[in-house]
Amino acid sequence: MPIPRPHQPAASSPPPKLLIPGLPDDIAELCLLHLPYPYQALARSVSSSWNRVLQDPTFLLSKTSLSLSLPYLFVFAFHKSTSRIQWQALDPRSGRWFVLPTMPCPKSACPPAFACASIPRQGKLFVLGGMCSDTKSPMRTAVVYQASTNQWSDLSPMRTPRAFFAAGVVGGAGGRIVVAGGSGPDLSSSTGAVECYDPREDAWREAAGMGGNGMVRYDSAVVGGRMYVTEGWMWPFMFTPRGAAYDAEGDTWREMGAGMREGWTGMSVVVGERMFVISEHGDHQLKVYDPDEDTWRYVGGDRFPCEEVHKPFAASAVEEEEEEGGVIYVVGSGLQVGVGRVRLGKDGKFWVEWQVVAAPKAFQHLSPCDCQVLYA
Amino acid sequence: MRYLALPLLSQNLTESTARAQTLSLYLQLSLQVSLSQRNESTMSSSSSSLPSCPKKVVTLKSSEGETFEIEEIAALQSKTLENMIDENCADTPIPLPNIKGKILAKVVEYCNKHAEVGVDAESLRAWDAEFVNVENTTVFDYILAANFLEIPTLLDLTCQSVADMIKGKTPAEIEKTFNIKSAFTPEEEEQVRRENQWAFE
Repeated sequence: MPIPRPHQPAASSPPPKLLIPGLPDDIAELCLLHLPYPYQALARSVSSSWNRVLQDPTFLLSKTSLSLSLPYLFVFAFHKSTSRIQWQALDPRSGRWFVLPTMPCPKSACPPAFACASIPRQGKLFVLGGMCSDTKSPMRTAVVYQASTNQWSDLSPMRTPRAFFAAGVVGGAGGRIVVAGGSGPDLSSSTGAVECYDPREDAWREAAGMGGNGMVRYDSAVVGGRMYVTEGWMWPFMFTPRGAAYDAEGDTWREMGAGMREGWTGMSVVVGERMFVISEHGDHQLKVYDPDEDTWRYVGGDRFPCEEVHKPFAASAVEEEEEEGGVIYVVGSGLQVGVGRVRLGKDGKFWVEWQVVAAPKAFQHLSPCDCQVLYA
Repeated sequence: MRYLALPLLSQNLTESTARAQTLSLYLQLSLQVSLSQRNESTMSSSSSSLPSCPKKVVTLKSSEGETFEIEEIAALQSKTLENMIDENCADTPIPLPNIKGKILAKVVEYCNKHAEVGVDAESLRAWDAEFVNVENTTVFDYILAANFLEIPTLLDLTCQSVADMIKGKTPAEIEKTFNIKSAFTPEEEEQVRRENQWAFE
């Protein structure tokens, strides 16, 4: 794809300097496209022409179309004692972590109150809403992180302030962010308001409300064009949790199936068209949801690495189409990461193999809130 | 083998279209290679029943006039040579005035190695790593040869090795290694430095 050159002044000027002396510029760009995350962003400091080329939006497009971008796990964590927020990215292939530039947010933000969503193939992740710990008031803010430039930028704020709400991206790469529910102006109430964000227009639009008093999110997932939100099981576990399903195309909500609601007992991940949960209690067994029977089944294979990966969990997944399965990442306390390879066996049943990516000692006081897989 | 119809790069393209062509050609070639690799792997499993054909050889002439022979099978990895073979222009020595003998010899070696059957992926990767374990100027020569001869696997390998040279170095070290002048205005430099402040474990 052509990357536009700056207009050359009419007066005689020295020939434009090559990106890499000794190579024609189109080849030099091919070399830069092979730079992995996050070195591509760092290389902007080398020279003015590198800065221009590496920031160009077509650069990331080329990288994606040449299949040079790889999945990285971005983890939203906070210091257990100070609540200081820190984002970091893991290269699962090398086990190397990169700390991101500080996310712009108010000083006393309460980390779990935010909601995150991402458009993996565009290398973008969104952090929305949240709550100020001192005023306990929900926020409307929206920020985006772009892996290609390693930068945070502000977006138009949401219409309704929200904390502890559900967010998801429906419609894949060309898709929109849907945010639903959350805590109202004082934490004791909840809101049923739903809105939709179009990244191309940087605009929020109201969408069909959840009905009733809305819901505070325990967990949410997007599968097959629908966003599912559950309020989760609450101690003393006497009442089945409420759950709702949003159909993005039709802009309608309906009640979540009973089987799905009852068995949603942990953080969920979506691999392709399948939803899995990592059970919060016991041995943290992996379960897969069967939409035909509205029931959950245990996934065979390895035991979850309970000894190395402890709650609280944040989980995400990436599909591996050629392998007919995917990889599930479960981030635990201290940012230990359990990596589960999920495959569909010949008997039509899923099975999983677990490995652990040990975290650096420097992360031992961090606790995860959320994680997202981005291609960078 | 199935072919994707690809336009030959003409000499009179404007710079930006040439760049667009290179990138899109690279993409198409990568697709083609993976297609033909898949075909080859299904073919090689049944090749034991075919009678052995006499091995056709292509002669290449370097810029200094030195000649190098390469088996047609190996030469097919170069889109340029493949086109010439198809159009029956490969019966006389093919002049390659852009490529020195020293480099051409290595490129022939690369194509021969990658045309071998029965080499496991691990040892091929190790061989590739050794192949690009040379001075920068030599890697650049390989890149230019791979680009001219349109050998996508070699182009990919060499571009990746340049990227590996860049990765992990500070901007000052990168400028020194590649003899680049930074040419930032003070405001630009300040802005980039501010935006690029980060650390990693």
